[in-house]
Amino acid sequence: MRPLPDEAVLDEQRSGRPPAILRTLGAIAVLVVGAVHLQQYFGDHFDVVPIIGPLFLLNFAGATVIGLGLLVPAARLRVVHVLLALGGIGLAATSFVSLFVSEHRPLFGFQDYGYRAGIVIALAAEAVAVAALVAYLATRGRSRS
Amino acid sequence: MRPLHAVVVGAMSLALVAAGCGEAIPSSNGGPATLRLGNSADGRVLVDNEGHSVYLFEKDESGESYCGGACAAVWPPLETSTAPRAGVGVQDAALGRIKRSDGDMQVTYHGHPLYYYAADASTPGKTKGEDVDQFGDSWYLVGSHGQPVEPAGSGSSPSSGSNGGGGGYG
Repeated sequence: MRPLPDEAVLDEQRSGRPPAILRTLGAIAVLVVGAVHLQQYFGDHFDVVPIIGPLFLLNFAGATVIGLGLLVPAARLRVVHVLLALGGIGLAATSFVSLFVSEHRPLFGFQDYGYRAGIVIALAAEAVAVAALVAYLATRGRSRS
Repeated sequence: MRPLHAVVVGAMSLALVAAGCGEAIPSSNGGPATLRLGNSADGRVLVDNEGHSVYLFEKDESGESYCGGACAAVWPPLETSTAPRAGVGVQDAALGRIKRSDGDMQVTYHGHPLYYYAADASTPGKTKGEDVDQFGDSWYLVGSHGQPVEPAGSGSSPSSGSNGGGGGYG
């Protein structure tokens, strides 16, 4: 006998596909943010840069946890998804601001140099992540009210 | 404000505050550049007027820099808007400047564009970039005659630009 769907599952079904699409888009964007930071750490030798290097690794680790967590398609994880979305927004927004600041003035003693491809990809992914996850939270909020 | 919101806002505020902190790696401040010889574990090497080590990149050719983008972030070029000045042990006539692709002027010595190293942070006297292989070629401290300085205890000699002597001259 199949168990009856709980309220969370019914709520996910009632709210339609947009939240799931936004959550997936946000998750992918967050994973891209982490991947770019990992590439910069190992590929572009940012591992030697004090403070900034370890922060890049932390960014990758955090982005991986958040991104993969958001991709898990379980309606019962709605509260977890909301928390992960908030974390993703915080991570992406902090990365965006930090990157932008470091282009203009030293950040932890480090100043970046030019808007190379990696930086453009990171800024774009961070912007998409924030927009998608904010929209996801907004649609979730609407579906509850 | 909910606790999680407070954490997110707090983290972002911290990042913004931190942006105003931290001593800069000496890089493209564009101010006057004075170079002199300083002591290091590898001998007498070129340093700026505050004692920060500078390096040459073996990939650079004909006085042209081949270090941009991420390379220039990790190896900030020594830039100046005015003519560089020679301090103790440095040949004034060997100092020069080249125009980088972004229009900034980079200091050269004996034709070698000069760079700082981010891993040295803002600590004078650090030489973590000595004999490092990154971004396609090797990086060396610079000797009094513009030659790449051989690492202390190394039997081999850097391949280019050597015009006599190893470490410990000057």
